[in-house]
Amino acid sequence: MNLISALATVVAFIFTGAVWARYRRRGGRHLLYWSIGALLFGVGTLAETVLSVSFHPAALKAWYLSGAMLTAAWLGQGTVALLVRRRGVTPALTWALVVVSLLAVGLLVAAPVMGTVGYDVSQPVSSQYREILGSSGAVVALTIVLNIYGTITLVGGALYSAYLFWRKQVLLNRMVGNLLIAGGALMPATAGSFLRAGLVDWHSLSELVGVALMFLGYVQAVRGK
Amino acid sequence: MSGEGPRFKPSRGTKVLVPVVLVILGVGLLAVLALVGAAALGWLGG
Repeated sequence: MNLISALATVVAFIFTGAVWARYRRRGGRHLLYWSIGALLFGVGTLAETVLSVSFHPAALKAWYLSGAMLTAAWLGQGTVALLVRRRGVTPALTWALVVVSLLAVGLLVAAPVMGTVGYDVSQPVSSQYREILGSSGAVVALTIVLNIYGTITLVGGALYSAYLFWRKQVLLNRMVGNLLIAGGALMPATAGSFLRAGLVDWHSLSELVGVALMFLGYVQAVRGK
Repeated sequence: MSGEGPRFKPSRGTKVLVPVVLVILGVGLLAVLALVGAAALGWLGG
């Protein structure tokens, strides 16, 4: 079993619980979307953990759908809801994301799973799924669009916020928190690059460190003045 | 983002460190976007 992925799952679900609890107490759509994003992260690493023990087609699809396709976009949507003040923009983007997410679910459910004979549980699913999951051009295109949208909004939004707090020299905790969120979010976004560079261990570690940094950044940003 | 709240006075080290970190993370963001677009990389290695 991949213990690092399992640990990342635990951190992601604690992160989800913390954001969800704050949403229940204080409201705020950004908290709702962040909790969805953190939950998707946890589902992705949980599926990765399951796939490190044995192969299940449903786990493969859950990993790709939640981890590779939707996590970044929903975390980024939280930042959009927090930062974008122009009336109507955030609801329109949210509805667009809901539609695209449902489309992604449909495409992944319909995607064929082929030739699992050579699947090796000792290797990360990320390095093997391309030969197993019959992903169409639409799935690949959606993956690119969702990840670019999510990474720009989440990382870009956190850097923009950190820069504003730095320039005004106010709310040090939020400036530090946003830097941690930006740094943390870049790590799981680059997990595939580590794999392609042959750094297999870094791949799982980047997910754990990434989610831990985002959680720390969130805690730092919301702590009392 | 709100600009209201307690102010802080950065030390000399912080005055150098924070802009450097901002630039590094900004470059990292551009690199990740290029990778995602060129190699169809998703999060968590997908």
